[in-house]
Parts: sequence; C-alpha cells; structure tokens
Amino acid sequence: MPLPLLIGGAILLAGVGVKKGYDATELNDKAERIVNRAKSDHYDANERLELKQEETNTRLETLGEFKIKIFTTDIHYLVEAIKRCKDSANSEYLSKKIFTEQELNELNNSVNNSLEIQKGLASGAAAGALTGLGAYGAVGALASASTGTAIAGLSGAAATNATLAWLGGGSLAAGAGGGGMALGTMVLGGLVAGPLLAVGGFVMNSAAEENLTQAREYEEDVDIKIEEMNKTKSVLKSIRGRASEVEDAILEISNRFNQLVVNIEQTRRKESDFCKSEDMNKLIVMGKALKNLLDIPVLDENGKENIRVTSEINQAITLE
Amino acid sequence: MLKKISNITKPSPAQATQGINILIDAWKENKKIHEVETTKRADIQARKEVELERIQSQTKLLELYFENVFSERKQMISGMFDALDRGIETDNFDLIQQSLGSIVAIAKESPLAGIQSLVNDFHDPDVKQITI
Repeated sequence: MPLPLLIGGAILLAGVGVKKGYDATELNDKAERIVNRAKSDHYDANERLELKQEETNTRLETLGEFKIKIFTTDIHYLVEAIKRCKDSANSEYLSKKIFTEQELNELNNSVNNSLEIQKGLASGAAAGALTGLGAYGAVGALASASTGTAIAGLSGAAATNATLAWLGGGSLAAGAGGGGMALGTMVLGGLVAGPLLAVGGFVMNSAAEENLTQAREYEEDVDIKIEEMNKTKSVLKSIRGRASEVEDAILEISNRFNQLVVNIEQTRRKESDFCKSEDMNKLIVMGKALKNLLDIPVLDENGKENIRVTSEINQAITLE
Repeated sequence: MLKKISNITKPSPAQATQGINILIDAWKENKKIHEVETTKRADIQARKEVELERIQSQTKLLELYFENVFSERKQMISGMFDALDRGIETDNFDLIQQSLGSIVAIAKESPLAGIQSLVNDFHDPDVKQITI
C-alpha cells in the first residue's frame, strides 16, 4: 500500500478512536442512568410491597380483635347458658352431645382469657396477640391456663413465625444488590498526544460497552424482582381475602346466634323454659359452629403456606 | 526551537508502522467487543421479556384462581346460610345441623389448598391447558 494512503487511513482511524473516547462517556452515563433508575424502581416497588404487608398484618389483627369480641359476647353467653342449664335434662343432654366436658372447660378458659386480653388492649399489653389470634386457630391458644401464657403464646407465634414476622415488616431478602459492578465515570482530562488518545478512545469505549451490558443485566435482575413482588402482592391479597371469608362466616353465624339470644331472653318465663326451648337447642349447635369457625387458621400451622405456594408455582413453571 | 521539537517527536518508519498497527488492533478489538456486547444486551432483553411474561402470566393465573375460588366459595357458603335460615324458620333441627356442618367444612378447607392441584397440573406433561 502506498505510504500516503496508509498515513491517510491511520489519521482517519485515529479520528474514529478519538470520537469513540467521547462516545464512551455517553455510554457510561447511560449505564449509570439505567442503574439509578432500576434502583429507584426497586425501592418504590419495595415500598409498595411493604404497604401491602402492613395492610395484611392489620387485616389479621382486625380478625383477631373480632374473635376476641365474639368470645367475650357470644361464647360468653353460650358458656353461661350451658352452666345455667346444667340441671335441665333436655339441654344438658344436648349440650353434652355437642360439647365434651373438656371442650366446655376450654371454652370457659377462652372466654376468661379473652376478657383479660380485651382489658389489656386498651393499654397495648395484648396487641401483639391479636395478629397471632387472627392468623391461627384461637381456641387452642386461648384455652391455656393463664392469660399471660395465652398472650405470650399468641404474641410469640406472631413474632417467631416466618410469614408473620415478614408481614410485620421484616426486611425482604430479595433486595437487588449492586451486582458487583463498578460504574466509574470516565472523564477525559487534559490533552493527550493524538495516537494515544485514539487508542485510549477505543479502549475506553470497549470498557463502556461492557459497563452498559452490566447495567442492562442489573436492570433485568431488578425488573424480574419487581414482577415477583407483584406476584407476592397477589398472594397477600389472598390472605386478606381468606381472613375476610372467615370473618364473614363468623359474623353471619353470630348474627343468627344473637337473634336466638333475643328470642330466648324475650320468651323465657322461668329457668326450665329457658333450658328446654327449641331456641336453646339451636343456640348450642350454633355456638358449636361458632367455636369451630373461631378455630380456623388463616395461615397453616407453620405459617408458611402462602410463601410455599408461591415457591411451588415458581418451581413448577421453571421445570417446564 | 522548532527544529528541536521536530527532532524529539519524529518517529522512525518502524515506530510509525508499530503505532499504526497498535491503532488498528485497538480498533479491531473495540469492533469485536461492540458486537459481542450488543449481542449480549439483545440476549438480556429477550431473556428479560420471556421471564417477565412468565411471571406476569403466573400472577394473572393466581389472581384468576383466587378470584374464582373465593367467588365460588362465597356462593356455596351463601347457599348454606339460606338453608340454615330455612332450618331456623321451620325448626328443622337436622337442616340446621347439616347446613352449619357444611358452612364449617367449607370454611375450614383453605382456598389455597387447591393450589396444589394447580401445581400438579403444571408438572404434568399431559396437561396442555389449564382451565380455571
């Protein structure tokens, strides 16, 4: 190749190299913007998820408070009514068929502990127990011998259980990390000799290309985590839906239970009428259903059901 | 002065050739890296879209599942309460007990339990379509 042509080509290439150096700065800026936007999106998504966690936690607390109310009113009435009718052949027979002696004792304890918890709510002493009460079956925990034990057991379950601790606002392990990428902004400083600047431009541009790829990888990681969070929000919604379903069923039974109480109180003239009335029999079976509904857990025993379900679906679809 | 500078910076033909070769190598390397990284980024984008679509369809499936299950259960429980009311009105003790038993049974069964069969369907290669 003739020398002038070679030199001309080299000068042209050197110009491209210098231009590539400037382009590298733009690529690095772009990479930095991508990472910053991804970090901001992840932060916002995490905030939104935490709100849903709190909402779910509050829903379980409300259910717990509602259960306490039912124990201190309806179940309280039921236990007292059964005690009152102990000597009445008809109702005692029915109540014995429906409730064992042990169950009645447990219900009695549950009522007493609920009354104590209700008092403690004003001072905040028993607040921690409500979430546990909403999330799990109530009778077992409330039936314990002392109020202190019941509160400690329910609060302890709420505190140590993975799902509830998480719902309580624990940190989400799925935080997006930095990916080990260092996005140093390369600034061209000072004048360098022409050929060196050209070679340096190509080198910087190559590094910037790699930075941009790392930024896209980071963005991918974050976008996927955000989408997973949306799925988790659906599971949280189902927990709230389940809590509402259980509460609605309890409320419906409670309404009918209270209508029976009104009927019984209005029509009874003497103790024997009270115990032998059809309404009293209905009240006992209704009370049994109420007790069973109060004992239904929203979360499973390990409290990990919803998270397990999400995980299983993930695995199942990944295996496709 | 000019002469002095000229003496210092003037490269030999061999140095000039070496400099040009370094420049060409750097250009070639940059061109290669640009192509490799562009391909990687296209792969990342394609992979991301597939993954996002997969998760979004799971979320939709879950939402649809829960919506249908809760709606179906609500209807069943409501029907049982109607039966309970009939039992209360007519003093039909058997109907009261049966309807209460059914309400408790439905309520006890976690709506999330059905997810297991959904998961099994995902695993089953013979299941081509999942209808909720």
